[in-house]
Amino acid sequence: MRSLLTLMVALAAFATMAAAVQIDVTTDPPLDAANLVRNADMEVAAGAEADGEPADWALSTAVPENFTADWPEGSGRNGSRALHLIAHDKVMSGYWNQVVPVTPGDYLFRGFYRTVSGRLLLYAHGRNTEIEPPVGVDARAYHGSSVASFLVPVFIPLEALTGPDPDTYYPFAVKVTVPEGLEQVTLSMGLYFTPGEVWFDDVSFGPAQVDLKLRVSGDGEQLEKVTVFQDEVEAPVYSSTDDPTCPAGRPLPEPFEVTVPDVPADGSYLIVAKTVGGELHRVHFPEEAQ
Amino acid sequence: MTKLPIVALTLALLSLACGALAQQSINAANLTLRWDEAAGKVLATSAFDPELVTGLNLHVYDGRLDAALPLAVEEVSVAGGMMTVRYSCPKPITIVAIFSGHLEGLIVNVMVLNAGEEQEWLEPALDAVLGDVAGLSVFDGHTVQEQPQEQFGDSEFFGRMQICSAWNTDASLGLGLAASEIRSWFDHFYLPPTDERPAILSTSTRLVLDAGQDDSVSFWVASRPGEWGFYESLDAYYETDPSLFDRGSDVDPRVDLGGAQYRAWLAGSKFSPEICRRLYAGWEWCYAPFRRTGDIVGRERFWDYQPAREPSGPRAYSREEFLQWREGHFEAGRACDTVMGFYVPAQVWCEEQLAREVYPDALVEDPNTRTLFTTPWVTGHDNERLVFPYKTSYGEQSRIDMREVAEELDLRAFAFDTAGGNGKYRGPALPELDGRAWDDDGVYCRSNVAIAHLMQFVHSLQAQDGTQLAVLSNPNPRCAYSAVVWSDSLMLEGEPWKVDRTYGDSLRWMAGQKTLVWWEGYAPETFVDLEQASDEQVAMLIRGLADFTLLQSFRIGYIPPSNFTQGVGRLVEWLPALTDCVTTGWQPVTAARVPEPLWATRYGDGLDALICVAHEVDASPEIEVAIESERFAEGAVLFTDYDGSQRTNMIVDGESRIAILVPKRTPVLLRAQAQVLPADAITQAVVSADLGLTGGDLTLRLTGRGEATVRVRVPEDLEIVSARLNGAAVAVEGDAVTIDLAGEGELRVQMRSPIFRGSERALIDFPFANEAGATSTIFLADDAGEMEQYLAERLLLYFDYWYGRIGAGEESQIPIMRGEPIPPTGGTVLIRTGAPESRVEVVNGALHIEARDDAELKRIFMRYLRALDTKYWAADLGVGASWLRRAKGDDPWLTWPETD
Repeated sequence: MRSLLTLMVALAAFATMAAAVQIDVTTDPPLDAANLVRNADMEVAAGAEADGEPADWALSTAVPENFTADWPEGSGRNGSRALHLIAHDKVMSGYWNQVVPVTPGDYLFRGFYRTVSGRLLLYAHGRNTEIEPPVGVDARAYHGSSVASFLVPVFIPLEALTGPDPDTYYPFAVKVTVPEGLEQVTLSMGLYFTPGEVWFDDVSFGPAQVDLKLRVSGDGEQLEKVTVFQDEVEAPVYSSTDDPTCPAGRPLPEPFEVTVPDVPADGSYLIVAKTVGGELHRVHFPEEAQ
Repeated sequence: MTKLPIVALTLALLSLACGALAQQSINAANLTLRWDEAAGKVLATSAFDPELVTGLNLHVYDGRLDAALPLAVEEVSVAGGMMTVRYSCPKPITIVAIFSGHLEGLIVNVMVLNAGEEQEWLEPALDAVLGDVAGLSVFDGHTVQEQPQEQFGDSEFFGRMQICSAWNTDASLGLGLAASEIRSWFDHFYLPPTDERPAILSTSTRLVLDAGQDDSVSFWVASRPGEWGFYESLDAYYETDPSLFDRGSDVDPRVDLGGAQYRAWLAGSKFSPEICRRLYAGWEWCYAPFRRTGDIVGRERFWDYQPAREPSGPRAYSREEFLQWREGHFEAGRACDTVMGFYVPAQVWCEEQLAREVYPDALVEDPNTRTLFTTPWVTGHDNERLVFPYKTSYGEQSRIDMREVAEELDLRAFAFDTAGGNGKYRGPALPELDGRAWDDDGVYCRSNVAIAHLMQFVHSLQAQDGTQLAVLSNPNPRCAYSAVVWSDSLMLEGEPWKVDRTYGDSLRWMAGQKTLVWWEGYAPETFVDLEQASDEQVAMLIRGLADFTLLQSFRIGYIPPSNFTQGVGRLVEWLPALTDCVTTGWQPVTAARVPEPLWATRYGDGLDALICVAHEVDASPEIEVAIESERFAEGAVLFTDYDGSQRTNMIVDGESRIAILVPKRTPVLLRAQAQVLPADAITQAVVSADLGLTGGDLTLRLTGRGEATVRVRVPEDLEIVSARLNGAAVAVEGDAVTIDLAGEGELRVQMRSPIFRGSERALIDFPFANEAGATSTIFLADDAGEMEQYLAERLLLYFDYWYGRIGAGEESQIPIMRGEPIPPTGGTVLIRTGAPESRVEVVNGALHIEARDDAELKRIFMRYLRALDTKYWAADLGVGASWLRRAKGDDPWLTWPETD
């Protein structure tokens, strides 16, 4: 993806019209600053040749002839580049990978894949056998699809399949706990002993939890309430009405600033600001952080 | 390969002296060859199209000079059906080419003598000069190209047949190495015509000749009609060397069946013999029955070593315990009535330390192939090193070891894994090796040569009863051709959908009529996320994969082994027919035309012919299949469905035309039942067969005029009792009757089994047991032998399986007694060998199963069990995997809904 994720949301959110309310959302640490992956958007070439190999990524497999690995223009999430991999046979797995430095703690390996067919394995792995006892990590996520198989639909009805749409990028996420003594892990994304085809884009590897920092300005309108919801979590992760620093029955300070600590770095959040006049202003993070 | 003097070359030269141009031409393989004195070349003409091929030329490329070796014709003779041409060249090299016919092929035997002082690298090539190339298609040994306009031919050695072919609608020309050639390299290519020269189809191989050394290489050529493209050439190729394209005639015929996939090896279930039998498993892949790769015997001197990883399971036993464990499992497996194939990694992989320290002369150093496995593989705890098992210390030890384990375990087969033949050997044994070639790095011998010779060695071994040992192999489709030539039965390590739907085709072309099986299994997790999928989704998926397996198995002649069939109802229903087809023998020339997208495949010739028609689209078309009987039989061949159901055969221009409806995901299998000679004696035949274990009728309602001879298929164990035309008896001679037709007539041929006597119902409904327990007793003579005891136990197991495993009730436990039968309270079963004649018959409530000898007793007993299966049918239980248990639901095995 050519443009980096913008980490600060500066949206003038208009609801039923009236005054503008500005909701700024950042994280600490900033998501891309905390991203340990190099060439995370797959746009940088290794060396001077723009069409050469992708910088920082390499193919790893015991049977290279089983794979076609390239980096085509126009295949990424925004029409730019993505890592591409075809496994011709199931004789061997193969992965795009790079090694990143780590310190002990919880990380999140995430990114986006699009697949036509095949069993995908996304995993972060590493081992240090030079200390006693050896330490290591092997955190995995599998995804896959067979919709493009030549067996579909005559032999495999579409309704028999589970799996993603072949034209859509989907997110993946792998939680990784790095133990003491491990100084680096390998991030691998590829096809696990199946024939198939996949593209990878916009990968990150960073802390599993971040602090969500909000700054909401009424721009002349007084704010009654700010609430933060996380997708697929029923209770809000933050509500100013439950915040002892926000006295009940009084407008919120202008601008209203708050930090929501230790939220999952891979979460999707809805921030809702309500004015004293009853207008609702909403922002999705990070989706509307483009 | 011999050193000077060479007898063959001398004889060839003598024949030259005696027969110089006594004849002008020779005929072989539908080709006429003439010597063109003026041009100094061999002219060739196909009987099917005089324009297709005009000449056959030998040329030799000199690898040392990197140039063509100029050849001058010294002498030519045509005599005794042979054309002999002697060439000279500027080097001290003598070349003699002998053209002669052998069955369906023309063999061009090229003998080369290096009389010089230097090693020579020579590449003899046989060029077919092509005339008219309009509408020409070319097969380069792997791929077809229609009307190629540029040079065509993949230079890849692996995955490629040793023959190529060119054809138009009228004629085909096949060209390549004779099937028995064991070479490290070959190539084929097609050159389109230019202004300077005509089109050429060329095949070549490479020879390395030391000073004073000779070698001979045989090329193969044949012309056939063109309708079926390169399959015409395959057909001629198989028929030139039929023994190399079928299982060895002296090996155990059970290797023709499917693989047991560990239902016999380390199986551990008392029902394993019955499961194997019901799933048509005839052989087993006894995986790595040794502790240390490369030491298959388990010798004391090699036992203690430091493996790369900690051994586990039985390989962690002491040597004595391990050998005892191994012997016990081979014996248990034999009780499943399967050929226990002792696994070896083609003896090309050896534990690394053993290879380096004991067999250093055998190490293969090849930067272009993998020579070391440091991840768990053969034994799981060894690192394995690529070695060369021919004319090296390791090759010698391998032969000693294989003979020893064969004797110790009374083996019937070795199972060759990694038989493809990767790796080029350039070690110290290289000067002693035949089949050498060269590349940019010098002389080498490819591993396929070593593997082929080791397979030949296996065929030289005999089991205790004199049966020749068989070679089961796993070469994978990207293999050296020779791996398939010298195997008896093979697996494709994958599913019918591996890579694409035709991935296994090339292996079938290489194998000819040998049995091929798929391997692995459904692996539904590669298609769907099993955690997300509902049970019904899993069921839909497995049914679809099974149906695809069924169709591809019929299309290209593979038997689905147990991982595909166990607990999968539809495949088990089709297994008898499918196994019948594959063991009858896949035929490259289908001789059955169907409209696209349908396809047809033929198995067998003459009255053994079976023709399968199917498609892979979402439709159920009604079509007409036009069967060109003359391509595989005399006269008009008449068909029913496989089960004998009625079919109407319209006879038009000698073809049998049959209207059929081909359902979605379901094959239609036709079986030859009769031949009518001459074909034009009839215009229509409505044929049905109701033939069972004890006999029945074959009925032909014929429309035609004049005298006709009708030959009928007589199934094994049946004989013709009578034949009637419109109710009047007609004379039977062997399997034929001669009748006079005047319009319509009904010919009814009655058959009866001399072995399975009485009514079929009485045999099948014999009261062996019921849900309450045994209702019969098996009696053996006091002096009954091992076979009688074994078969009695198999009958006991049959009903224990049915009532215990399938019925989930009490096992029936039919008693086995010795001595004279006590007056029976229930049925009495008498099993005995040494009887004056073979019979299975119910007499006064007692079932007699008896035969002249053990082999015949076993044969008719097993045939009887197959008949019982029609009543006691089961697909075995779908219990092997959690996904199969989910798919089958409450049913004992996976079933197909009516509408699916």
